[in-house]
Amino acid sequence: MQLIDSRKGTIGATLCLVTANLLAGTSLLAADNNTGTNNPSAPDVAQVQNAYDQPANELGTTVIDSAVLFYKEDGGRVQAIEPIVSIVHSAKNGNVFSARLTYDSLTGATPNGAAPWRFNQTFVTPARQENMRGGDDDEGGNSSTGASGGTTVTDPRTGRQVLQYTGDANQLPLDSGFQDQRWAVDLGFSTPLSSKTTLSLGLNGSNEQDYRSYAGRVSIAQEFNNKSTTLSVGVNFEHDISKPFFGTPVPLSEMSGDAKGANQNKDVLSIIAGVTQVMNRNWLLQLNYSFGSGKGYQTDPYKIVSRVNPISGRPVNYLYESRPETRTRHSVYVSNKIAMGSFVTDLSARYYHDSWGINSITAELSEHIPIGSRAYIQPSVRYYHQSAADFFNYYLLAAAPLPQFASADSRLDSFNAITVGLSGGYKISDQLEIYGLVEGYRQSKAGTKGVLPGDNANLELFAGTNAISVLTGFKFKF
Amino acid sequence: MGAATDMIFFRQPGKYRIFFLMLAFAITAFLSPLQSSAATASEQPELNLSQYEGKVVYLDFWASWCGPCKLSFPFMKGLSHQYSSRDLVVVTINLDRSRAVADAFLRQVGSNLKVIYDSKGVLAKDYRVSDMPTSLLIDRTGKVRIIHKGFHPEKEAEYRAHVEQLIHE
Amino acid sequence: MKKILTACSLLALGVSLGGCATVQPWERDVMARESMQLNVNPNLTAANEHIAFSKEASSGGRSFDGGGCGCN
Repeated sequence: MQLIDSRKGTIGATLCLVTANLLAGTSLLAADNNTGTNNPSAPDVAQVQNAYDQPANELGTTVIDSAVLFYKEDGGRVQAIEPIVSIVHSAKNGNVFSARLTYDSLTGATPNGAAPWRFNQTFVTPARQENMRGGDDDEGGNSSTGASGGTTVTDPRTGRQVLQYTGDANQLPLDSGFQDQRWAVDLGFSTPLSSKTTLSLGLNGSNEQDYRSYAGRVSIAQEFNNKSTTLSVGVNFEHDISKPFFGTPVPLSEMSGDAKGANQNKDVLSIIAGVTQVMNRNWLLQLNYSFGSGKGYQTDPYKIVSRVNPISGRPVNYLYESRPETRTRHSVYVSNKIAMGSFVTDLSARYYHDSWGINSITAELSEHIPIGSRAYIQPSVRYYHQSAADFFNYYLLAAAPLPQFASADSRLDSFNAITVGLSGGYKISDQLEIYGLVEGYRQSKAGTKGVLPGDNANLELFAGTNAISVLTGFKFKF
Repeated sequence: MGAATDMIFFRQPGKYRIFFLMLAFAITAFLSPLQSSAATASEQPELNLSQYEGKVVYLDFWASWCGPCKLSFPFMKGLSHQYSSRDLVVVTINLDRSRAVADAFLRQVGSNLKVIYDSKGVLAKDYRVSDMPTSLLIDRTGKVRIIHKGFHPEKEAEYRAHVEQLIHE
Repeated sequence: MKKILTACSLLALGVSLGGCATVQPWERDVMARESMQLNVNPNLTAANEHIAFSKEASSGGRSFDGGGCGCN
């Protein structure tokens, strides 16, 4: 029916949605701005008394913000608990110090990348051992990453301990007993270099059993037009170390319990440039462009791809996945915050493109609705669409030559995702606020459905998931 | 989302799409919010500096939503206590849209300094206020000598020195 | 495709700049509000970005400078 490529249509439609919103917002505000009053002591239309209309944190205050996120995917998949604690101090001289500590505990099962089959499938992976090459030595009982919940046997060919686990028939094979714990620290500092220039610096580090990441960032913001316009430029450099507990498998080699290779690294350099413009008294617009370039190991060492019989669809063997060593990404982000009385509409959109062939559109809309004088609720909706990576495949055909890169990770598939959420906050006192969020996330396949060869139309290959998140927190200001 | 926009936008041949967007631009420009109407004669805020001739005037523009303004009030109160009213007058000009909000702020900081309400920013425009807060130090002859843009607590000594300088001329 | 995208982006920008009004430094009362800051709930934003990042291929794009009361 559509002669126009549906991807172009979606992108164009989103940008026009943003344009239409700007148009609508502006004309609404034209009406609002002209509501003057000749009586100077009449309360202004825009100044309904709600605590969230008060100015943002003043100089000389410190805020401790503590929250915990509960996350649960459908179908026995990943569950996580993530406490986050942060402290932000705004000094009287304009300096701002911030520190955030995040702890992540994940359990549950995650698809291993193999395609489902009519019968149970057996997967073999090295068993976790104390003195295994790669990964950290056990530090005070950190839990393991990777498969467990199978049976450990000795491979007669190599004499090594290997773990065998089963993927149930007619289901997406899951790597169950998945466990991980991650710590992350983020430090930030910003200082005014002059009344119109602000310099910001930050450091970030995260560590889990099989992955470590370090990053540093610096950005500068310059104000123009009586501070209505802010131009900012930032650079972020990240260094990641992948240390899978059984070592790094050779890409596209056969899945086995054999010893694997050394740890791998990757480096990512990102630049972000943006303009924030106070459009009128009630409307703040932000436009950012960001660029990122990643070099190094970007494969998921635990994920595999099935090689299947091209006639029957029966799995022949499983290969470790392989992704390119370089990745360049671009994104354009536009965001609006529009106040109407004490209500604030937040509408944003992002277009993303990278060298792996992934294009995505994100559009988010939320409305801050004041409740009484001390509270608010904020319903929100987010639409996300991404196209698949060039090398994404649900499976490989055994008869075909091996491609250079292949991955069946659902993160690289083409899908739509809708998030519907409701957040809210209540200021118990001038110093203490509680807030929370409930959000549902739903993924669905976009584009042509994947199907195994043979008589297997009933086997669902899409590994996307649905999830519920609940977050509660409090902020204490002093 | 796609279907309706598709109909309006994508069914047009290429050159008309540009026209459609320019039309949107033109409509927006036309509907651009106009500046707030100028104050009528009856609500012109009154600032008569000639009544302070012979004294140093510390003229401060502030608003309740301005964080540094909150820090500047203890300083200004200190100034008005430190110097006799024959030498220094502190005149504050409020730029809030609503007098009620301004008065609540003044109660909170415990100020009884002179306030002129300039909700439409007429005086602010006259004095070319470009920062919040802005203080103008006016000497005994009525001339603006020093302007403090913003209020920085770590510069209080410097601000005080400026006041001293003008008083002892 | 690229041409349409560029044209559309520039015109969307043009449309928005068409909505610009001069905002005086003393007219920043609404911008100063907590509810109008770019990142009202940093921990909540961080949690959301982490959730999206764990399931989606795209990342980043945002920054948080600008807006606010413009004081000092």
